[in-house]
Amino acid sequence: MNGKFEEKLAQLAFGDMSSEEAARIEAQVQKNPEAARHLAEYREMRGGLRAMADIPDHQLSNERLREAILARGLNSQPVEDRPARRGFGAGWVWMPVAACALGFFLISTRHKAVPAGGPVIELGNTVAATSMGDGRFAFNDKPSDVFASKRGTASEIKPTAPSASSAQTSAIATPVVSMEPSSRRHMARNRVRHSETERNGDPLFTSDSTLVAPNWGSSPITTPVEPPKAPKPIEKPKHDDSQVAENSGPIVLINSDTDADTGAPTATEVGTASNVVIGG
Amino acid sequence: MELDTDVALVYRAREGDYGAFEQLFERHRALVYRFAYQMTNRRDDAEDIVQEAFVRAYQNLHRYRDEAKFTTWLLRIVTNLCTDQARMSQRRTALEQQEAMGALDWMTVGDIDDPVQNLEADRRKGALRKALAALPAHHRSVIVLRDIEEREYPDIAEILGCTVGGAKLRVLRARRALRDRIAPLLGE
Repeated sequence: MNGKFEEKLAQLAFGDMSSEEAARIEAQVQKNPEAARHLAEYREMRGGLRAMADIPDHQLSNERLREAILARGLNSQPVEDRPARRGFGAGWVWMPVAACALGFFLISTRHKAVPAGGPVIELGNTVAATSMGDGRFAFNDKPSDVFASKRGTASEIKPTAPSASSAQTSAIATPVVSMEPSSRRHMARNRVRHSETERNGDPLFTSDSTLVAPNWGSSPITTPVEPPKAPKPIEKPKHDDSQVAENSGPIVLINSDTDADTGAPTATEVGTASNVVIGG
Repeated sequence: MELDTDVALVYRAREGDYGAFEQLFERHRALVYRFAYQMTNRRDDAEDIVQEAFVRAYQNLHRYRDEAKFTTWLLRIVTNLCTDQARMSQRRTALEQQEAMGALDWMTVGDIDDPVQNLEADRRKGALRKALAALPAHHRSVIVLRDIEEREYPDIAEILGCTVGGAKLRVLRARRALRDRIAPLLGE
């Protein structure tokens, strides 16, 4: 006998069924001896439970209750109306929120801080620069892995070269902190696409070609580089430590997308920052 | 609002009229005691539960919302207390339970003249009582509410904090569980 039918038998025995359905089930039971046995058991159970309603009298008294209430420290006056707490209340929320806000603040300021070991100039793009050994770097225009800066470290940067000209390829930027694989993901959002470079034949820079930075051993950069200007080929690499601190202005990332209305290349300003990865 | 309705008495009790709360106690203690007794099978435990339930009700009068019946709200408190008590008394020895059941023999007065049939009826009633006491608290409570106290499903749903359909399903499952427990006791 399936469970559903047994449930029907229990409902029939306990009177939880309409009269029409009860008649239908009764008809089925008459043809099924096992169902009839189950129904009889359920009916006996119902009778027995009803008989259990008779219980011995209690000895509860008002005095006993009053003593119990007073023993709890409750006087006969009701407790002052307190606002019903709904759920856990909002008071507990502030702690995790404050912790998250503090963590976010620390993370955001951490990347703006200048490392003690030397300036980190980062310029999100896909172009890497090759160290020329004398503090100068050659840039290329081939899209490469996004790289990010890391404070104080100086490792090899994957070289790519601008396609415009050899002179352009020798565009010098500040000594760039090399990127470690773990840092590359961080700078993914700062990529500068080089489709424009390839289209125009000129290297694209997100800042002026005379991007400079102080020596790594000197005080770190505290001001960002100059704001971007129209792209132009770089003929002579140069860097000036003293100009770094003075070069300030917003840095923009040139996007691969163009303006829908004008067709002009678009760029995204990332604000001023002392840490810029130079690309070409 | 009539002055002697449960809601009115609650409002008066909130404002400091302890006599109003005593009226509520006198009006509903038997109902609460019956339920607690069916759940615990012991008079002293049931009385303790009733007392504790009313003390908690007094402490939490400000939380009572008059959309629900006062008895429903009270029985919810008692149900929770009985569940807690059942959990704590799981380690009670079988001897104590047998003793409690033995104290109830005066109730199993057979109304059948044949002593043999009386004995059989008593045996079956004892098996039913034993099976009910052995049920988990969440099954026992719905059996008591529906099949002993004969409360309606909406009331049961409100006491248990579930839907009416959920209450019906719980009753159904409890009845099946009770039947499964009775069968071995009766040697079937």
